[in-house]
Amino acid sequence: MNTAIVIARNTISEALRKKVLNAFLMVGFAMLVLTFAFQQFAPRQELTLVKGMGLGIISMAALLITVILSINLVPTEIERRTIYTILSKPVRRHEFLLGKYFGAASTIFINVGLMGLAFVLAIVLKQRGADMGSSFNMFKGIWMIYCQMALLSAVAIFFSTFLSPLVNFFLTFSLFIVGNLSSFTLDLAKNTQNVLAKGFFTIVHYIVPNFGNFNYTNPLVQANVQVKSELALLTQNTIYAVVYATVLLIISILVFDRREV
Amino acid sequence: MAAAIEIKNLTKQYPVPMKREVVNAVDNLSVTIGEGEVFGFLGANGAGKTTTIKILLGLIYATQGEAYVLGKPAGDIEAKHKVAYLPESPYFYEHMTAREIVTFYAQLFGMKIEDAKKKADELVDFVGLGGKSDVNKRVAEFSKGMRQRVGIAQSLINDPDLLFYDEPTSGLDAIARRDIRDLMLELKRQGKTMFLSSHQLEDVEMVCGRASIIHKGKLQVIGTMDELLGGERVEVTVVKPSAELTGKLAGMESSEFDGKLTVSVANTDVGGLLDAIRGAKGDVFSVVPKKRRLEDIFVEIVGERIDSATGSLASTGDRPLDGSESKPTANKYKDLMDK
Repeated sequence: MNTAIVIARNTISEALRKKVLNAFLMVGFAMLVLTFAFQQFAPRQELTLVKGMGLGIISMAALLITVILSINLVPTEIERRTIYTILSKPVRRHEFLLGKYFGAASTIFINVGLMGLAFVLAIVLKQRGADMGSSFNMFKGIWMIYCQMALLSAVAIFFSTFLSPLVNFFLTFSLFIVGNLSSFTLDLAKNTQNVLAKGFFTIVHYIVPNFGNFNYTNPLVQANVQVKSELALLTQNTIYAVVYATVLLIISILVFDRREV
Repeated sequence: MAAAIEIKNLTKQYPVPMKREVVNAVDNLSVTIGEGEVFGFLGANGAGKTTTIKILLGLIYATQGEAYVLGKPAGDIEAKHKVAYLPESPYFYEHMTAREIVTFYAQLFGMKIEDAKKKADELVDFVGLGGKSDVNKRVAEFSKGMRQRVGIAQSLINDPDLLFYDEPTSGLDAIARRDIRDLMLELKRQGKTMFLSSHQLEDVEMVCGRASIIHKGKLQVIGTMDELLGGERVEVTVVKPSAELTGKLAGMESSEFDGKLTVSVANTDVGGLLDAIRGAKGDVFSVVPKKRRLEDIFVEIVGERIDSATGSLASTGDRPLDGSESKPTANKYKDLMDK
């Protein structure tokens, strides 16, 4: 496990130097700042809009960072042959893969965390310190975005053990979209009469991670949307992400264990 | 002598894209290398050398056969604690300095960060990258020779019993090449087992006690250097040979240039030849022993000459028999290690 941590630390230090990821982070920051430029609405409306857009921008920037980072982690090591010197050391393949995943998850955490901090700080400043509770509540949404991205990273790393980065890019994005429409696929499965279509949509609904679960913007920005038990929902979603990512990583390890590098 | 590496009937097949065929990258290879032995593994590009090493390190898997490293199945983690690998043209994380890279690899052996940093300092100095101008340079700014030195530094972290060096001197300038050759000689002196894959035949002749030649995945020949290079010949050159002498020497392996006749005979026949020349009042210009070269053997076995310019089998050229070129003037690695 110590080896996985060493690899994770190295992955973070390399990822944080990647210009393309930093560019997405900067664009995220820039858009967050632009969000605060809305002046033509009533203060309450304006705040709702700012919060909604802010979480959306963080989510979008995090999505790009996660996908670009995660699809390349393993193939790049193989392509530039750095993996030879690593796996010729007493490093088990699962330690390598877990190190890569933890490195990616930590990098995403740092990026989402930085954007989240900037966002919450900006809201606090905009409200001039009033209603600090609602400002800090934004961290719940930011945490859900992080869980969603950590799960998406596991999906991308799973595909990267046997697919090229280009195919992985499209597949990961597609699954993210389908996973966000999970309730829709369930409805399709229930309402269709065609047995094949019913089977297909049911399988899609249960196999593709339900990324839609993590969209927690409405309860945070709409006063009229209430959640019965916020803590239960957040905990449940966190556990869902951890369990799903664990399963994906186990399958990834099994595939990568037999892969020739 | 216990076996450091044992390869039994090893075969590695790859499917040919778009065809229902397979190609044998390694074909029924069997080799045993003893502990403390420096073994040369020769072959042209694509002969199967790197594939064999990758199987032995567990990076890829054999289609058939068995391979053992330090008594453990290939790829065993326990064995990897005592093994080092220097890949051909090693690549490292470009954003790191040499010291950071060696520290990173040292940590992969379970070293604590402080110990890893200390080891890295030692090794970076050892390979000559500890100078002020290099120590803060990122690998991205390194020349090929400097990268190779980083590769050597990372291969010595665990004081390995067995080293796999894949083309360690390929593409290096004369000085860097001599330095790395010196290091290999020093490792040999220390009794390390070395599996040296190369097409730089001169290096192999100098460093290895035993060698094999592999071609298209098949083992062609294996033996000690004495066995492989045995059967020395001698070239005797006669100035302006008389017609009588030319007649006497007809039928022998000879060539004539600029009024000089050069005759090549086996070492054992040189006395008889000189007697014959003296008997015909011939004027001997020179008697030059000619040692067989690995390149000659390679060409004999494989039946094809490979151009060094293409990066394949390198020509070793002529070399004086006294071996002056083979003796480095000063082995700095020996001095450093003795310190």
